[in-house]
Amino acid sequence: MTQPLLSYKNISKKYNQRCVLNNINLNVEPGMVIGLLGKNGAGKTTLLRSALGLITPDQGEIQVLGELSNQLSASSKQKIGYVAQQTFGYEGFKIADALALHRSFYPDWDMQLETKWLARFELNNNDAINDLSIGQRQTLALIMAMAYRPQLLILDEPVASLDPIARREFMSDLFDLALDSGSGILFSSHITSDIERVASHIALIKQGELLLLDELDVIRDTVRKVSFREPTIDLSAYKVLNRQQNCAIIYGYTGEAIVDALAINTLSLEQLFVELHG
Amino acid sequence: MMQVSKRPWYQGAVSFWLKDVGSASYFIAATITSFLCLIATGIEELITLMIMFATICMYSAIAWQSIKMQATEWQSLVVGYREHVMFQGKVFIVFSNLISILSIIIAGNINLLATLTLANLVGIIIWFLNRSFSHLFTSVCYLSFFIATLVCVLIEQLPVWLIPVNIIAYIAIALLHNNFSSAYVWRPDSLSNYRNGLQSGWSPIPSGFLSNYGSSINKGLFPLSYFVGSGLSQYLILLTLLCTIGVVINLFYNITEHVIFVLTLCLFAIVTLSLWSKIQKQNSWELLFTLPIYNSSFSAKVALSNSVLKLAILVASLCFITASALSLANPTFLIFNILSYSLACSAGVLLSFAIGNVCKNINLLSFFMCISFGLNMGLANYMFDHGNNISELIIMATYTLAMAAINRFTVRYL
Repeated sequence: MTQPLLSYKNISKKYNQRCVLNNINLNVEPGMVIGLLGKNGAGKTTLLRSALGLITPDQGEIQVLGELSNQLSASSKQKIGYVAQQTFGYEGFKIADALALHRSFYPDWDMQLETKWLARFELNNNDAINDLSIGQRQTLALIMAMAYRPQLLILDEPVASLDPIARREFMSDLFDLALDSGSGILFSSHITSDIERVASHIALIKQGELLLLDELDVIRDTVRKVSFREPTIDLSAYKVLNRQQNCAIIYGYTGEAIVDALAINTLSLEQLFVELHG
Repeated sequence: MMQVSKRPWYQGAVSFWLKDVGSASYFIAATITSFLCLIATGIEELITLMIMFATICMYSAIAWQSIKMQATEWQSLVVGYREHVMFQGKVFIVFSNLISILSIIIAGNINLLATLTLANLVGIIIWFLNRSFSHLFTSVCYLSFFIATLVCVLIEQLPVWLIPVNIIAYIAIALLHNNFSSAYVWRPDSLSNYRNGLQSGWSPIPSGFLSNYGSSINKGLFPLSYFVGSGLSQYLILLTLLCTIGVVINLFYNITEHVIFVLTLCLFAIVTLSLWSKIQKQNSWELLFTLPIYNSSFSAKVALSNSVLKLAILVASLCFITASALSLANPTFLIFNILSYSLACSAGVLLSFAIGNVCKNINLLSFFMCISFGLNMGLANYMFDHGNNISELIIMATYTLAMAAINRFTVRYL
């Protein structure tokens, strides 16, 4: 069994008595692209930041590349890429200067990849970072985080400000990166179509709890919306993700008939997200 | 794949220190003042103040970078990034100190070394506190600048025995800080502290402070108050309180010149801060133009110029009343001195805002603000001490009118 690149074990975190993360268990292994889906304030950013040691959990342990997240060695740090929700740090620089400085910290920087992405996303080396749009800054941040081909890539809503074409291209690059380099990627997003396009796994987080973690195909195949009239319907064979008066979202469905069910419907990821938060 | 090259220590220095507006405002001031120390070696009072100012400014620039570091989520992941930036800061501190030492040698006054060591002690406190607590930047910086200025104004020469005391304290802080601080660690509020600092000019006053009393002032000084924010009225009220305290103390101890110096210093510091806030909010013009009270963008600009004129008149009145009240206890100063001084302060305000109208580049603005700060301070204090005849009063009146005209004319370049 391969060692996970990132491993959350029983992670809990409270802010001002509010539980932001509640007993999270999650492993990111090489080749995995995990899309983290959740509403604003669900705890996604806290989960990602805690992997970098920026936030210390109240309970549990986070291991990154075999080391504790708050005691990462220099060699491990060089294998991690991170893009924050708000890109910040090279104000005052031109793109070329910022990249030149940033690349000097990484022995394995892929210059060809940098050049390719700069050209593809039409970033001009002489442009000042202060003059870039939010989307362009995010693109640059992604280049800076990916050009040294990190083993573990942690991205907090990385493409939220990108136009649909750039988003699609970057997502495809992400997937290629994971396949080529055996990297593991954990990224959060609100855009379910992006997640569906590239993620191998989905982690669905609601109010700090990891409701669902599985392969995308498994989720597609086994998550159903069951409509019923009688509230006494027996759903004990499944994991019930959400239950309301006349319907429930179940996980673990394998095609059998459910007694008293009026309808059993498949759900797209977006529908699932909406149903779970409805 | 590319192998990492040996990085020169200065790589990115221009962008880090001169193109980040927050850092540049302190760094440029520190650099200019450092070099001016070499010129001012013959003027003892001035060189003391300059050494203190240059050194504390340089540490403030590093403190700013420390805040930026805390606001940058990825910096802890990039091995060597923080060390690279901070090494540059340390080089600049050493450089600034070397220039100060050179000017002390030229001046031939060992007591100035006590000033320099004290400035370094204050500076390291600013830096180290801000490495861990970004929200303290404003209060720590202002308190330090205020104390440093008071020390320079009130104590003619610091005693030589302070030199070893300051050095020992400095070394102790440098060695022990790791035991009680978590430096440069990312904090969720640091980015907002950084951005608020850029927007507000690091106003040391809480936003709600005296807001009830200041609303009529803000209304009267609209649209200047729209750009500067509630700080404008707060500054003016605080300045009035400061003047009142100075006048009362002056009834018992003769501190007329000290009060005038501190008043002038605070006044131009406030003008610089207000201008800084205004520049940072240039993007808000669009909203102002859309207000139904203005027919065109130019009429909004003219209204801004008028509000600056009103501020200059307020400043002149405050300076006149304070200087007159001070002269009650010290009748050596004539009405000409008081009037010339008030006009010099007023003209200084107009000149500063005219510079703000013309300078689009933040580095150029910082440079000219430093120059005008020194010019205004020098002129105002000179007029209070020596402007005792009508010809100087006429010159000052003409100068003030010229500044008012320049301010009105340059508003079109906004």
